[in-house]
Amino acid sequence: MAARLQVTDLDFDTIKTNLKNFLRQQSEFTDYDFEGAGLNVLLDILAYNTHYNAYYLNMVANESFLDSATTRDAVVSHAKTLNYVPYSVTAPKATVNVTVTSTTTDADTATLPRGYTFFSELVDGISYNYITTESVTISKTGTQYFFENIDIYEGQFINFSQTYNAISNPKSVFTIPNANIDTRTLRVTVTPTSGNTAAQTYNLVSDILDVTGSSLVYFLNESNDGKFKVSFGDNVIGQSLTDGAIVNMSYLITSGAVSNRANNFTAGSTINGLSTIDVSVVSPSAGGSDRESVDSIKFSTASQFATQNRLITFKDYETYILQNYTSLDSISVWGGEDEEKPVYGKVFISLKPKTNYYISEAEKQRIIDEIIKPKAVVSTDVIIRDPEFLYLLIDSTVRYDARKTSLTESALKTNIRNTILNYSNLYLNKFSSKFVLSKLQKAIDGTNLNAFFGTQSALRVQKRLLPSLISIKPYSVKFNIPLRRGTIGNRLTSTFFKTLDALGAEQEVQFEEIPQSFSGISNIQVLDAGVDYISPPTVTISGDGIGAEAVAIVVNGKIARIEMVNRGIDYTRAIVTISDGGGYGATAIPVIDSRTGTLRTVYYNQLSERQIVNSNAGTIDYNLGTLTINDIRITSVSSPDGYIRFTIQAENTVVSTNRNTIITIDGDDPTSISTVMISEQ
Amino acid sequence: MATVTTDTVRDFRDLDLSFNIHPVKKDINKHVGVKAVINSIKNLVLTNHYEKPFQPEIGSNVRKLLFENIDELTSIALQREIAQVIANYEPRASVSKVYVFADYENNGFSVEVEFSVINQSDPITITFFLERIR
Repeated sequence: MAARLQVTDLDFDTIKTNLKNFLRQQSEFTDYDFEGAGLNVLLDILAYNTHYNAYYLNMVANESFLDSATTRDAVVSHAKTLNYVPYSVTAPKATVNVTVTSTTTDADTATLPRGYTFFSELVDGISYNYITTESVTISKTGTQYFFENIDIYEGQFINFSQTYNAISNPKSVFTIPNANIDTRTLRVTVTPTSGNTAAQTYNLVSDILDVTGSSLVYFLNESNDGKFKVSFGDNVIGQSLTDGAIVNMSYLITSGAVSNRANNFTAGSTINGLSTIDVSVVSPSAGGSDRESVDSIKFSTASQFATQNRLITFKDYETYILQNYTSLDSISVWGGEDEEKPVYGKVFISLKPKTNYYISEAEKQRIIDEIIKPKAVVSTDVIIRDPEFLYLLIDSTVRYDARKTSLTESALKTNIRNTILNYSNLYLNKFSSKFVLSKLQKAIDGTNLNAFFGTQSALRVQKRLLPSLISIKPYSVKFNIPLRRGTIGNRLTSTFFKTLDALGAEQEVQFEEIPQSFSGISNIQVLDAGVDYISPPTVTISGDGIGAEAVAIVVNGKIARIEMVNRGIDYTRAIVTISDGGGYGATAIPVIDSRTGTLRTVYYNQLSERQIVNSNAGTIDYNLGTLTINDIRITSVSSPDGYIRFTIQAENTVVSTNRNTIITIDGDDPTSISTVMISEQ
Repeated sequence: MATVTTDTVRDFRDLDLSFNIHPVKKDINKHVGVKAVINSIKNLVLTNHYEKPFQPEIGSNVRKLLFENIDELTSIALQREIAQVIANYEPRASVSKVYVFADYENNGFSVEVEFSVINQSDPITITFFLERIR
């Protein structure tokens, strides 16, 4: 049977082959198979045309759906149908105090005008302009003008005016000419020509629930070329413009995320003619972000549509906050019922900003008041918790064949370090992430598959505690993962700090786990109560530890329970024997306590001898991963950042967290990655 | 069921790309037999690389060589180019000789290709003149 002409192929070559197969069935022209033949030229044209159309149709079909669209214009257009406006470039914000030194003869008040410029320190070699968005006037204090908590934004103010012409622009759409506008700063005013000539302020609306025909509102959308456009109402939804009205738009254009973390500013010009100006930073520059990427728009559109503009489920919170507070790296939301001690009616949120570790208190309050409260269910209380970091320390031993690589040992170490940090960036550093040691080892092996035989890695975890240096108080350090009981060589230690010893002298000490501490018998479970006991039998505990004692309680001839008198110490195994008492048949097993250990504070004297300051400084709960430190007066901390670091081995090599804990590997800490290279052949 | 295999020797039949109309049949002209092969060789020699969509390898470098100096070296290069393109893409012709003469007076090359077509005993010689036209 003659072959049919295939019509499903898209590729030029297969289309041409199909055409040739088709031509095999006719005898009019036979030279289709020879590249030089005239017929072949016609086949080329036909195949090219078919291929072109197929490709074009494929593109059109792809761009028609949000899932498969790839061009920004198409994705933005799909987003528009679901009432989602992609976020623009966001200007980073810093808060500063400005002190201007004057003389007694100067005026009583001074004004920091809107648009006043500060120069930032160099960020990657560039100084950025930060400006004020409001004008502030204050009175003189002594010989100084003190402007407190002034918010400054990176960028430049632009004013853009256009006259509305009803004939040439019947839909009253105005495109903002700058692509890098921060739309949050957009202020729209309209001056009608007839009657009242004062400018009226129009406000942005994202939903039309409260909008009437006389509301002064504007709508904002991203247009085809990535720029934003402002449009006005039609007297049904929002008031329309009158012909000849002057539309004025004022906004900030900004460089976005690049100047985040700028922490030093200088005044750009005189204030009230005075030039002795001191600028101190209250909170460094943060919150800047680039405009929303195509992938992010696709993700946010669908999830925002799912929230329906209300905050009900925890996913709603995640999506809505991410959309409205754009400089976040990761977010975690959980209900109060999931807290360790349940608190009902509360929503807990933890936010990890892109460039810093924490969000300032003022910013947290702003997020609650401006972003969450307007959309949240009435009577829910929202609490923003700082993220807690669980630092991982990776100690690896890599065996390799030095002949199979041209790299030096230190170059290999650098490569391994980069591999580990890459792994951290890829899989850690966000909420509810999971660390798997075997995956990391595989990645380390993959650094140089040719030369590496294999890797042996040990995992230690670290928590950092910021102690109060003024009061005596207890502390609790929560790892929230099971910890491994220490041995003499490998146990929990902390960095050094100063405290007072029993004689009131200041000593530089560290916390240390007492090895094998408190492994006594926790309790004894009766397996068989026996019969005919007339008096309490003797309970003998034998094992590798010492000192454990217990007594049996007899009720009606049977052993009701066995109570511990002394838990003993250093047991790793034990057997319970029950003898005498007139009866027989009773058996019991001991439960060896391995749940808790003890912390002590120690220092080393000039002879490197360990001196114990407090032998009972606290306890370790290995299963819960909690260190409970008894009342202690810490006077100073050795590390420059003020943190005491607690480091201990993790029980498991898979570490996962919940709520507000973020697992990370601190690339700035030289002890966090240590690698030993062993060359073998 | 028995399979009947018929072995038909097909004539070479190709389209005339000039699209001239046959004076009697009022149909499009055909190149038949040897003429079709000659026409194919002409097309191949005059096709540049990257001229055919998605098939950059098909063609010869003849046009570029015409802009080189007219001398023996270029002649040899042309000779190799023409022999190669026919050997590669025209299985019906087996080339026995390609002569390229640099014609200094007329600013071009005269080419003579001698080949035989499969299933035909007589050798065929075609001559043509290559010159640049711009």
